[in-house]
Amino acid sequence: MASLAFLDRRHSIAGEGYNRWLVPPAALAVHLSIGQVYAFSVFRTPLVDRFGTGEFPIAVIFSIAIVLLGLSAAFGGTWMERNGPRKAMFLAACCFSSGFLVGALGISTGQLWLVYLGYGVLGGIGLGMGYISPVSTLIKWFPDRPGLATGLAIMGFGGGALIASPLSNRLLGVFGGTDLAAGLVPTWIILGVGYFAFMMFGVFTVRLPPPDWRPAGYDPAARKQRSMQTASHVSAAGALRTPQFWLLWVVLFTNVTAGIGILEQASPMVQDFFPGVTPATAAGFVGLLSIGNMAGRVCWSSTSDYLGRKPTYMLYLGGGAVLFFLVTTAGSAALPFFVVLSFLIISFYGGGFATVPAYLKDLFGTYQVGAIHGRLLTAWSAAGVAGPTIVTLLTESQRRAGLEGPAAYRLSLLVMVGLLAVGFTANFLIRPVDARHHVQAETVPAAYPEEGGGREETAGRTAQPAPGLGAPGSVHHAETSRAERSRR
Amino acid sequence: MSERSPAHAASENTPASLPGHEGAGRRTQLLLPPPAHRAPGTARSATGRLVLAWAVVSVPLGYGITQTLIKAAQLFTG
Repeated sequence: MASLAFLDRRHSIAGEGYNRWLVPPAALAVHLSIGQVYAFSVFRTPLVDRFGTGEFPIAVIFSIAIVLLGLSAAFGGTWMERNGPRKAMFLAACCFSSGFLVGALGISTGQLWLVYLGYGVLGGIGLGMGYISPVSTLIKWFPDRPGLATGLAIMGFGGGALIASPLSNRLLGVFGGTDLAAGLVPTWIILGVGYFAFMMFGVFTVRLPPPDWRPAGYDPAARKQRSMQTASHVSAAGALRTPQFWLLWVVLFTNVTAGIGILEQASPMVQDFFPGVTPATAAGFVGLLSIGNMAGRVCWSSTSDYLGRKPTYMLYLGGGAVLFFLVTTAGSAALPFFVVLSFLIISFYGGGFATVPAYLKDLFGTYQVGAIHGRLLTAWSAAGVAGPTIVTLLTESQRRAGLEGPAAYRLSLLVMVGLLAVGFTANFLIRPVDARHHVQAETVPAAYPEEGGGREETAGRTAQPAPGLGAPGSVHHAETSRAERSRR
Repeated sequence: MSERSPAHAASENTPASLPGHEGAGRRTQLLLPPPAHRAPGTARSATGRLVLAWAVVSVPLGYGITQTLIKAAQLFTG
């Protein structure tokens, strides 16, 4: 449609005066919206009351959304790279908001399958496309600080629940009074319309950098001194054939599984560890963990720009294993001690999400980092199933064996220690990607035919490309690759 | 060492000039004059857009963080 041509990649290139610091708020607008999914539990009881079902059919709504998140991120990444961030964000906005509207129709007419279709399928597609849509663009704008840039955006996903939870509760109360179920339909309609408008702010604000753009003072040659940072590029398909991708998959899977091990049972856990803790205090503990989740995403990811990605993940995984062990053996000694340990663990959980795009950029370059990121997020989907399953099954088995209080959690927490040790080992084994996986320089321009059209507009240019982001096809790129190979 | 022409030193917010670039390509037309020579109104509107963009996301995020901290305070007050 001609009216939507402005969403095309070719029309998304930044013009004169565009400031790269406009991109993080554009990304935040999307992530703060889709982060609402972490606050879905607010609707659980009202939905149970509305449909007269048990908890499981309602929990399936969330599960469908998370599965579709993983699938759409995995399969939509290449489409997103080809069509640009604005089109991807627009698709995400349409799907995520229409998910609420279709879901509201299902709630209004008493058809649960419509809620599955709406919030679950449509909303899930919006989650996946929205999650990956700004990451590649941020890395292109901030090659000097990819950890900070992606941390800012992915912080939004954690922050989205902080907004959605109190907002949803307030809307349910305003429209339903004491009958929260009665407030579901207007709440979902308002959320659908509101999130669409907010995400469209991101669509209108985001831009791609010109192919030869780089930040002032940024010298890719100097950055390459870190052995784990490449100036070459690997395609999404090629990445799947590297051991590095699958090692990083294990890293993300173990880190997320361990974090979910705390998050999933935070409220009952703190009450079991400290019998004097009230449900209100436990809710405060959960709130504090949410702050830790969000803070970890931006703080640890930014720190990785200085520490390096591999050492940062050593902290997440190795340090996390130590913290889990301390929770297991001494967590019940004092509430402040338990709170601090849990806060750090959850900050590592958030940091693991936010740092991984920069890790991917270091290993695979920027060419299809968004698509590779999407495929890596299948680890999140797997962890979303494995984490709660491990924790629930093991904890319940310990209770059936007669163990109570902290003892009931010991086995599941020790399993998390073991998982993090596996993740630590996987991270330790990551090495720079072999040059045989790098794309040929002439391959990359063909992937961006619209940018080929853009180059015709600059026919006055000489054939010598500018040094930039290790731009594929450039002389700089080939020299860099040879230099990298000679260092190994 | 930067390969940008000193005469066309660009801010980190603008596309860099290409060494050896000739002709009226789009890139040279996108160069801004040095900040000292940029029209004050242009700089102000660019700054204003930046402030507005961050305000649009900071306000709801601030609301969420505040509400969460209020709830988290119950951990210490019981």
